[in-house]
Amino acid sequence: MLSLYKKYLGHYTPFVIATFITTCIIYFVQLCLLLPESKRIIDKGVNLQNTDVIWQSGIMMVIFTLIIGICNLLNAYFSSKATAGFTCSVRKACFTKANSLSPQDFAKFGESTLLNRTMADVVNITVVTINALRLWTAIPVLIVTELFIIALNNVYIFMVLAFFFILTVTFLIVFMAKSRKNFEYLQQKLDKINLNMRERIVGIRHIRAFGNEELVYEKSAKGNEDVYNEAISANSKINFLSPVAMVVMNWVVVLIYILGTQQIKEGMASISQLLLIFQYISSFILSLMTIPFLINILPKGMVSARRINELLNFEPTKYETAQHIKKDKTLGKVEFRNVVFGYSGALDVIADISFTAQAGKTTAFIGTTGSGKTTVMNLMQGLYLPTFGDILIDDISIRNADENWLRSCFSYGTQRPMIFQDTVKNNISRTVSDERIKQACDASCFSEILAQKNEGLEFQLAQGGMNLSGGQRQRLSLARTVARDAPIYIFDDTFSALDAQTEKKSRKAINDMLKGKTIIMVAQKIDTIRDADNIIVLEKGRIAGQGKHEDLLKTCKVYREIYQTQCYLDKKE
Amino acid sequence: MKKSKQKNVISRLFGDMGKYKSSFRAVFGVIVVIKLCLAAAPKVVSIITDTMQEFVNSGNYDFGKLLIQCALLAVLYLIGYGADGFINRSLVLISQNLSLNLRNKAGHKLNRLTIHYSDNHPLGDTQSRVTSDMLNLSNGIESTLPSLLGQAVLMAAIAIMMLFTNIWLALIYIIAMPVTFIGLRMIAKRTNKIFKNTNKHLGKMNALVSDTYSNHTVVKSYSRVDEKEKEFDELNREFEKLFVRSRFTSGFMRPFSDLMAKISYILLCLTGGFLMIKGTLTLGEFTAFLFYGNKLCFTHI
Repeated sequence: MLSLYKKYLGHYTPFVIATFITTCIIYFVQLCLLLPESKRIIDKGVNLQNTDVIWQSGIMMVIFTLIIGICNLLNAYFSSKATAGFTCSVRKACFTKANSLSPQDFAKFGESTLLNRTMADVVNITVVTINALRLWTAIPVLIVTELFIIALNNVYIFMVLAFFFILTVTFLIVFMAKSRKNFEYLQQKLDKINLNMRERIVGIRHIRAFGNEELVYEKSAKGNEDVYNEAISANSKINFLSPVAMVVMNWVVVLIYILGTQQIKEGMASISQLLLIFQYISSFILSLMTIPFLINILPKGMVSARRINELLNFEPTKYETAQHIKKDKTLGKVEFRNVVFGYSGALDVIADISFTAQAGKTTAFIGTTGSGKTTVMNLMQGLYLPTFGDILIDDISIRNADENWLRSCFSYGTQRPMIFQDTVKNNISRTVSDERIKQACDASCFSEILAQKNEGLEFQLAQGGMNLSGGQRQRLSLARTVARDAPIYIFDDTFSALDAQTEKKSRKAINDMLKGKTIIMVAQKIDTIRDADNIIVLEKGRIAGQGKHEDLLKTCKVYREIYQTQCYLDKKE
Repeated sequence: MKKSKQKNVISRLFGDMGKYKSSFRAVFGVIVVIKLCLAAAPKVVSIITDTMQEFVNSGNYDFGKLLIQCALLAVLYLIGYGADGFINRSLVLISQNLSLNLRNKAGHKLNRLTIHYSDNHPLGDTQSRVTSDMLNLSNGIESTLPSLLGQAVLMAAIAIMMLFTNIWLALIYIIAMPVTFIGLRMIAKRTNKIFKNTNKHLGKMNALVSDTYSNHTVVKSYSRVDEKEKEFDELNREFEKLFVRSRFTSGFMRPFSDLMAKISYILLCLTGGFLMIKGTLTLGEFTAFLFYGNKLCFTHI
């Protein structure tokens, strides 16, 4: 937590210091100047029947109050500024860091936890920070000043008070520490039922389709029961803390009345002195009451800080020798040399993949589900790094390539369409000419859908593009792929949601539009890829065959099998 | 129209409390009793102080008398603060039971919701209703409601006791309290508006971040990182301004009530001083008012 402060609060140190100074002034004026005036009024005014003293005291008190009032406002301002700056810096750092992660590293965290860390966790540390600035700097100052003043006034009473104070604080700390575990469990259980609720809402179609309502309800109900039990148990550990502390401190006041009277009898104190001490004690008890509140928000803040630090201090996987090589004119030749890769260190997702996709030609990949096709696509672009082996784009190894150049080599049509919550036009491209966008929409058969929408290209898409059907989303994603100008185009199963007729039309249009570019296509259907210059058959992460369609039918068993299951498409062979 | 809807919500909540319905009413009865005890305490303090003044004036220290008065005070404090633990326990039981019932009810309802509803309501909205809104409700019952009610009862009881002790001094607080409330209300209205804006803005940022993360592959692959970060920067800067405004405005509340408390304190000391010189106020009564003032205006003393 402190490391976060050191790093990101740095710029705002003046504000922090100002907050602290104003807080100190407030409490100093209040305790040392304002409250003693009441004693003065009684001693010099009432006891000596002097009304002038009372007026004088009044004026002084008004001045002190004004100073305190101004300092309070300044305090609010400075603490707000410091916290705002800190929060926004941390949030920006999280966003930047998460974006900078390679998809491989990104997947290590997962999208939802990254979102939580960037948003919810930052909120938690904000709460702690602003309260820390406003109150915590005050509390130690306050407590020490109070005890000091009481000591000045009357050492005997101070000792009694100090004893009970230490007793109470120890008591509070011990029991709060004991209950910490319970509140952590409670939080975990709450997270669990929240996640459960989210699943039920997101997966509402699936639950209904499979008739699992009873099942999920049972799970929810059990979770709710757990939360109930944990909450009751956690509370039972702490609910007597505040009452006991308050009773003890107030009984100390009663005790001081008795002791004080003894002191007055012995001439060592006066009633007005005692009254002043009581005022200090009241103030002291009030400040004591804020401690449980602060202790409550601290654990949450610390957990959030830890999670944020985890993200910010994460060391991305990188190659040791990144030389940032790039080319001006890329032809688009892709070569894999003995590539081996597995997610999370496993070595068996793909193995011994070697092939060359010639520049300007169409290379297709085919294979059953899980054969590693998308993995090859990810590796090709350098989104994931191979465990062994090398990948070369135009004879430049991706280990040595400049990242920006590498990105610009590809236009990637993802298997699952990824839609931004933005206009259609911005989804397709923000940099390309309007003409090209129109061309892309025509080629991907998306124009017909656009024609149905009043806003056309300015049509606003909802979260995840849910206001379009699956097929429409895929066409949009296709349009985005085609609109971009790059040497290599990857179509990862992007035609699956289109009917055969639209698919044929679209493929022809795209081929015309992208003449001379390297095209990498992934498909399940042989019909989509049969005209490719080179077809690579993948099975269980290994190459089962390579060549043209006719050759593969003769030489590759896997290909033949796939073809046979799909052969109703073609009656010729 | 609106009023009947409101009443409906509260009576439905009562229904969902199940077996703890009567406990809820009992708890509030207990809260009233303990606040009355706390309101009586300063009266005992004034008696003790006057007793002490008597000792000083007469030179005769009758500790027996003092001890009885102190014992009474101790008992009042015991009831006043000690019972808090039981109240808190009961309220937690009530609110957790309510949450449990409501969550289970929501669980049932989810199984019967139309798909139409889930398509037309954003995930976040539905989710927050069953999660964070639920927490707000239980927090409200466990802490906000009892403290509000307790304060109200305490204030009323103290106001009455003050009136019986000394009208002039009572007047100070009887005027100061409403003024404080009105002032706080005005500040709160402004603050709420700004907070709403800030939260809406945060929602926008949430949507951007969520969108960027879930489409991370495309953002990376199409080199759209810079553009997303620019969008984010704009939102972030705006948020920073909104945040400062909202926290500063809400930061007015404490200073304001502090100021009112101190003004009351100053008036109390001055008026009290004059009245004591005149002889219509005893030191004990003055002390009682110090304690009353302390209980009314949290921030000061």
